[in-house]
Amino acid sequence: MPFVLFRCDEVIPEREKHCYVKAPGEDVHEFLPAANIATIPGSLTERGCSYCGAKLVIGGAIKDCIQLIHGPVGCAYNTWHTKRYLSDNDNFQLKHVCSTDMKEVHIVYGGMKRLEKAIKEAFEAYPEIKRMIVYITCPTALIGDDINRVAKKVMEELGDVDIFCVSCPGFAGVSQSKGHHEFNMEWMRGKVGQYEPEITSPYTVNLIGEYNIQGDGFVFEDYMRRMGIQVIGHFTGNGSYDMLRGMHRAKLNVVICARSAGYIANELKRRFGIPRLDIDPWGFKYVAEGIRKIGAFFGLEDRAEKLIAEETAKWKPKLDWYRERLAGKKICIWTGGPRLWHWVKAFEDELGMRVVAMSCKFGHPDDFEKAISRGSEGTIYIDDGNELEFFEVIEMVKPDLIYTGPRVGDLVKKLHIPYLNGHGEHNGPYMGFEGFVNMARDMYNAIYSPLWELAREDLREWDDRLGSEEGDGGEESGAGMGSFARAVEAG
Amino acid sequence: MEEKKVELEWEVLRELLKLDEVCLMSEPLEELISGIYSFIQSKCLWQFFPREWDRKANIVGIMGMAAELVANSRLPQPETLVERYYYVEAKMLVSDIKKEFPQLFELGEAERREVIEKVKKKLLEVMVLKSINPELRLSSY
Repeated sequence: MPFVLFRCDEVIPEREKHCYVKAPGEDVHEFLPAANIATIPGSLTERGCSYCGAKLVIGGAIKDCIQLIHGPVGCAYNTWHTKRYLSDNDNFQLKHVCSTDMKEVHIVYGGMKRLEKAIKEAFEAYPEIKRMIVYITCPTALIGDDINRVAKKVMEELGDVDIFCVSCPGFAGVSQSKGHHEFNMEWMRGKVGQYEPEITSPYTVNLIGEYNIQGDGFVFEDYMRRMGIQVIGHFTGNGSYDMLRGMHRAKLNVVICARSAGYIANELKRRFGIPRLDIDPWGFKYVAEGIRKIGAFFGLEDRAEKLIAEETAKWKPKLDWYRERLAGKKICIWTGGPRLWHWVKAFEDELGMRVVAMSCKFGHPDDFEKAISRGSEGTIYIDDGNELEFFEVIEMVKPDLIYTGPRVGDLVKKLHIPYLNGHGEHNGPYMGFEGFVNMARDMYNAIYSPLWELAREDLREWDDRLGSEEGDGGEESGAGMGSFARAVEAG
Repeated sequence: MEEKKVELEWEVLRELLKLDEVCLMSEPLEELISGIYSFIQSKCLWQFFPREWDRKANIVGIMGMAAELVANSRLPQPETLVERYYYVEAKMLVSDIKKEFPQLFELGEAERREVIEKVKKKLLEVMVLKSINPELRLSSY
């Protein structure tokens, strides 16, 4: 029985085709969980929306442009600074976001004039910034506001600015994945090829699907610099708007998140003949392999080996220390999509851990092909998991640690199970040699933290215990307060 | 029109795979093929590209160069950037195969090439022809 119907899903049996347990000898052409299809009514999905996929995941990481959300103010706040993607220009993109703050009157009479005013105000507020991304949202798409027309008018009027418009209302598609797709394809159609970047090295790459979360991209940019390779377009962590318009000049596309940005890599291959090299930047063996491939592509094998040797010597002893303590621990990976297949073998092969369950919110069938091919037999694979399924899986597999996002993470914490943020990362960077040690450190600290045991305690029992030890004296200091509360107050 | 084109490509692929052919390799060689295939399945991202055409191009391009490399017959001479990419992936794969499956290199040149060709066919069969990924045959990304 490769597909499983959880007890909690008995009333929504359609969920069965989304939940799979790998059996010995099974291949991905026999069983594949249904993915990237509409959430079944009755299932409390953890998915985000298309606008979120375009803004929070991709566009929001670009460092040198104004982010303008044409919609209610909540759409701006809910996709602002919740992901810590850094930049080398004092994190402009993390500090500022603009919204047209649409109200009822604008929905009734149209928001295009308001948008035009907002664009001009924003350029006045940040005179040193000449680039902007405008995102449509559900209400402004429904009333038919033509954001491209407004942007074109302002660009003609101001002359020295460039604006990119993304048509990604939240209701489009089945998850945030649609927003990734829209951003990729619209950038490719509208912006790539419009700018000639300064070429400083004969060896040039685009880093695609890397968002510099907690400095992940800085680690990778440093590796490229040490090998003498120029990064033209960093799509999009620490990425520059204009350099991303010059992506057509790179000789190689190095792809990390194939789910959110594989589209633009495919199009660059199709239109400009730039090959797409997919790599896994987590785990020593994988990172070394990726660096070797990039080095071999440019004939820079010596530089690649030097870098790998230096980094391994520096970080491997630390990783070994954690490996001894993490081996045998059971872990769940419940993230967005690609981290399932990026992480599973690195955790299992290099840290000796056992990945017992994997779930993704917006993965496509090819994400499951990769996850199942790399994952173990007996592991549970879930598409678009809901909270009740997570409860049931926890009961089944009794994990030592769960890597997931803040939504499921809060649920997990209440169950007193160690949780780490698999999207925004806990204490990154997680990429590269150094990053994998940070990951191991976070896992070690989470699993061995005494807080989880303490959190299980019923403080009322402590209160009674302390009260009986103190005897009558307790009444003198703080009538109405329990002894434990008094003890805490007294420090 | 689009459907007809897809159908035609499938015919070409079936011909390429010659699925009706009975495999006459010995049991140890079958095990070797199966081992290399499983190794590639659990490791290489290039076999999972999202559309039929680019998945097929990768498997044919990389495994074709890998067959040349294991047989030592002639070194591939990549001319385009995409060919250079295939060469790099093939070179890395062959280096891994040398470590994981040293028994392959105890065989003669022709047999070594044949083993890799068989792995290529199996990959095309599983990842393309028999794939149940419903997005594989969408016409656009």
